[in-house]
Amino acid sequence: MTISQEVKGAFAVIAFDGRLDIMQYDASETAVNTLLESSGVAKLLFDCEKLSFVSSAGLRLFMITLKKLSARGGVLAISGMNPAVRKIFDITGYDKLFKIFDTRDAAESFLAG
Amino acid sequence: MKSYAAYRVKSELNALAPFTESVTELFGNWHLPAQARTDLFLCFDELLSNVIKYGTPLGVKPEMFVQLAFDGTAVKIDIIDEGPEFDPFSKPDPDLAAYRDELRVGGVGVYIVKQVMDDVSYYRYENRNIVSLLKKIS
Repeated sequence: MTISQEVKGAFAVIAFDGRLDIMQYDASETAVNTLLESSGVAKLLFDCEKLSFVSSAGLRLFMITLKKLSARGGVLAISGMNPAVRKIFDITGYDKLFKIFDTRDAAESFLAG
Repeated sequence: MKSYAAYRVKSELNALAPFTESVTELFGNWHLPAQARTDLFLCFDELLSNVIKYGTPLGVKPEMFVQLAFDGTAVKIDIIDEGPEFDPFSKPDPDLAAYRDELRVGGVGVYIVKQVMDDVSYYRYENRNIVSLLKKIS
């Protein structure tokens, strides 16, 4: 798993590349927390275009991050999920919790607006 | 024709990477469709991590056994450990709407397994937990 991050004014973007499973959980949570603390943003985008696999460990990271952002009055957007990843969100109803976009551009426009 | 494989996996997170690598190669040899592979890896991620989390009693070697069989129409998997008796399928399904309202963290792993497999079962035999999964291949 490679995680890249970028702060773009009022929001930040975290891009996942690889598998977000139980083995990658701790490192991924640390990366997200570090960005949230250092940037102070309330609006965040998880760019999942290169996220190949997500298990409930990955969902845990999404939910914990949503809770933190909600406490700041913020929002967590997700873009670019492949069908296998999207299936896990649909099965668990997590698709109803997040602002989901097909493309990173669409998500960034929403967050910048 | 039936194919079989069996793995002995240390009951620790670090052991999951080499296991995943070996099974990826096996699924390639079996020519499983991509979605079936993903569904099976989901089950490993959820269930093996449960075994690791719930620990191993003193005096028992901390390891799990994973047996796989493929007959061209379905993959059958048994996950066996000697930990305390634990049936992952004994709890009722989560109330997903309530979980969303509460922004509840966790509690959906086993539910995912039940949704992506065609059959799941658990039984206790002697001092072993045996979780069996069936995934049909269309």
